[in-house]
Amino acid sequence: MKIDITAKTLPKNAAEAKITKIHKQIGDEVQSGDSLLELEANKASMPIISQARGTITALYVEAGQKVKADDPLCTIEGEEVLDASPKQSSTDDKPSLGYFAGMMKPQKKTVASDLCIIGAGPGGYVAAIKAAQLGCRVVLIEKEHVGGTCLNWGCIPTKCMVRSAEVYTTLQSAEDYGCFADYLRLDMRRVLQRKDEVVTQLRQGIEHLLSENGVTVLSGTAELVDRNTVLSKQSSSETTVTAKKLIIATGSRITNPPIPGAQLKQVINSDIALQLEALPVKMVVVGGGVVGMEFAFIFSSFGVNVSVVEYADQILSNCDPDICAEIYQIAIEKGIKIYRHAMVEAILPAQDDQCVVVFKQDDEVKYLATDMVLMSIGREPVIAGLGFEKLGIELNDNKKGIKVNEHMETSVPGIYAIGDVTNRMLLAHVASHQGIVAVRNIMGESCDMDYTAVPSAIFTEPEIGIVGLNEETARKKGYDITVGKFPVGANGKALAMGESRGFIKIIAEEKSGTILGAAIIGPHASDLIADLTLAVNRKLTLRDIYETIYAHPTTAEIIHEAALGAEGRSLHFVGS
Amino acid sequence: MKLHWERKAGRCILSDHKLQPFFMQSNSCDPWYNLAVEEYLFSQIGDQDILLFLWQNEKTVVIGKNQNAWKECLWQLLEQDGGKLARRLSGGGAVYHDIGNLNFTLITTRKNDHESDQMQMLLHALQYCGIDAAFSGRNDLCVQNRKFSGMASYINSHKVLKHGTLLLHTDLDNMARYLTVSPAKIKSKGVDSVQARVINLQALNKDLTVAKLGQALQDSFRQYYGDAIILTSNALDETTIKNHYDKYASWEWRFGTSPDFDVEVEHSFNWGSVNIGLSLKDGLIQNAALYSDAMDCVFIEILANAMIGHPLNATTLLTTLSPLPQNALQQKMLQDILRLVLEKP
Repeated sequence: MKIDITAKTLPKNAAEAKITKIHKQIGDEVQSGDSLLELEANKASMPIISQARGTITALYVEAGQKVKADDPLCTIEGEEVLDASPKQSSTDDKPSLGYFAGMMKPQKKTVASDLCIIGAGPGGYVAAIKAAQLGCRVVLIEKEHVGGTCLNWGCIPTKCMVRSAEVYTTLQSAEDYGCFADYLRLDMRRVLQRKDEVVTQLRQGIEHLLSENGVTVLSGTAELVDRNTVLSKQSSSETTVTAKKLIIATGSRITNPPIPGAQLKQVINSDIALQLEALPVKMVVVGGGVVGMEFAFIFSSFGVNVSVVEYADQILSNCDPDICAEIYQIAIEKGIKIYRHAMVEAILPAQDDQCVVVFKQDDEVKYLATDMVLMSIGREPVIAGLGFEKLGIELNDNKKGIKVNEHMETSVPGIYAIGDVTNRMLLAHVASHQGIVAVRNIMGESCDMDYTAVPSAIFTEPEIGIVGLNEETARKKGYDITVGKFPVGANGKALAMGESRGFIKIIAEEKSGTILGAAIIGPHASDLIADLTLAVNRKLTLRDIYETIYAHPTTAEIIHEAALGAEGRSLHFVGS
Repeated sequence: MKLHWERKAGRCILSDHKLQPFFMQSNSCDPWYNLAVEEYLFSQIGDQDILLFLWQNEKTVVIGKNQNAWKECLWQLLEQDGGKLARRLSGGGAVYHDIGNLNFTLITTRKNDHESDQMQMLLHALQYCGIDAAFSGRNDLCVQNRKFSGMASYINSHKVLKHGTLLLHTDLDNMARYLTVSPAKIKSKGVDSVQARVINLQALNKDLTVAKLGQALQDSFRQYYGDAIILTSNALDETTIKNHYDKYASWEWRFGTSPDFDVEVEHSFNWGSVNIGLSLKDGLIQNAALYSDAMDCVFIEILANAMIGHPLNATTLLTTLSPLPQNALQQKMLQDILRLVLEKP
């Protein structure tokens, strides 16, 4: 078949164009996508790309000649190929490295990748999926289980325990709801079994997601060799992973307290607390932070006599002062004893398998005899064994955690760090978001990590949700603020549920009404805070909220009412 | 925009009809690097994308895709002064760049190429900077009838790349110095440059800086196309950029792709006058005709024959021809002739 080639359209719809280059001569073989010749008009250069394959049998033009859009340029004897696009440069069809080919041999392997991520917690595995979705070849190295602390030893197992505690508490008051349970008992083995089932299911879910996204997961340790190489040791083999970029997401571990007696067998940490088949009669929780208070409420609900010893003036000291006061009151009413401004000095063994917690409160030394002590004084970044020193990766000024910029990049270009190892905000959702930010930057999109709208959810009973500034921090920052507060007790849905404790506080800038922060204590607080996180993140105003219709009857109506309340216009509450 | 790793996976994540804007600003003032980045971005742009790329070059002459390097500028003088000669993908004539000039590149697909919108977007940014500019012809931006921006484009079957200069405080003396068209008689099948009266924008608004104009362009781009994803050098595939860079820096691209041309130079030296006619194809000397009234006309013929098949390139010609002279006079003749063919065109 003879195919006559014309320019069809000329650049910028010019009347004529000048032929500037002729690439093919009579007799030349051409493929679809080959550039036949080039022309120029009105300062626009344009190649004429062949949409046929065959042989050039005639050439009607020469360089320097002027042609119109429908002038024949050359003739090809051959066949047309539809939808030809210009040839891709050779770098685009690099053969992929068949790194599974070497899998059969154990011992030493090499895996080439675009991105290697160390640690498969909520930071690492989310970053891996995101990067894979963007077409990266990702290797993810994990020495224990995917999901990290959050899924295996933190957020998820504790929430399973919280749920068991809730059900047990509800059963105890079932009569109030017209239900009667005659023989009520708690089986910790079943509680733990259910928790393990949930964790396993979620873990398999992540493994499935990773495999579906084509992420290579290595189970082993990891050591940085250089900026583009990680050595991973598995049980029976060693893998050298090469990567264009690296993300360190090694997470954190429980801090071992420098307290005499901390090694006693009665002293446990949160990992052990998630595996207790037999409950103690009495438990002292050292540290009234989020982890300490969640466990205090769980074990108290299970019937354990719980005391909390906290060094600061308040439990959950990062929260809004009103929230601290409310949760303190609720804890006391539940029977949890709380010693604030109290420093544990030692834990002493007693003669009867018990131990004694010695602490100083208001210059007075006090003693608490107990069956078990739960240490929850914090977590520290995992950086040992990684080899970050030899690469010159800088640590934060306090020498805790890896220093990163707003792109999550460490002091060594091309190496990023996310999650607890950065020691910034030790929260799973912060780690995930940092992971996304790191990947977007790795893929060449400039994007900064912003911490202004990070929500926190605390699973005490009732729950607490906070985001942005609280009343105290907002004033300290010099804002003129207005506060909208609304009690859970005035909400229909909450009362119907039998949950009347708690309140919501919205902190907004007085003049503009821009929402700066919020705190909720009450039923569903951890879910309700999402709405206000969106508000803080997108700088919404009180008006944006109260002009929105909230479904009735829902606990979310308290958000609507609090936004009105900030302007003194609550509909269902008469403020003082 | 398919970032480079996405492309390997053969995915396209953008499917809605709205254009996705991308923005990038180069940190380099190396013309070869910037052109390499520009070509890479052109290859990566997706069906629903539009990209604004801002860049600057240090002392550089950029010639059009179809121009003759010998003819359009005094590149020898430019290189002596530490400048670079570059050839771009787009058509049009030779331009002089220095850090008083800001370059913009717009890349999108042919079906999304709405030129009037793009030009409004540019005028809007200029207006914001207090410059009441107007279009002149199809490709120039003028103020007070003097040109401060020239645009050119590259089009393939799917995509369009448009770029232009914006003179802010370019050294106009240098511009005139390097862009002086050679006195040699060159008959080229390529494209000739057109001289124009130019003006620096700082002459109209002395507070206008490159940074301010760049920001105004970026803001205007956002206003027209929405929030842009900002790209960094991480978005670039190092290997591809390196390959592109090597191409832009190569003699073959800068000189060898000059359109076929004939050059004719004449000069009288103390040993005699000489008339040289060279015909070049792809930068290689196809034919050399040297006529001289010199005594030693045999040596002239030897030189002419020795030049054929070699690139019109100082290093190659020097190494090829330097063993030929047998005496001091021939040595002098060779030097004079080489200087003539290498510097004059």
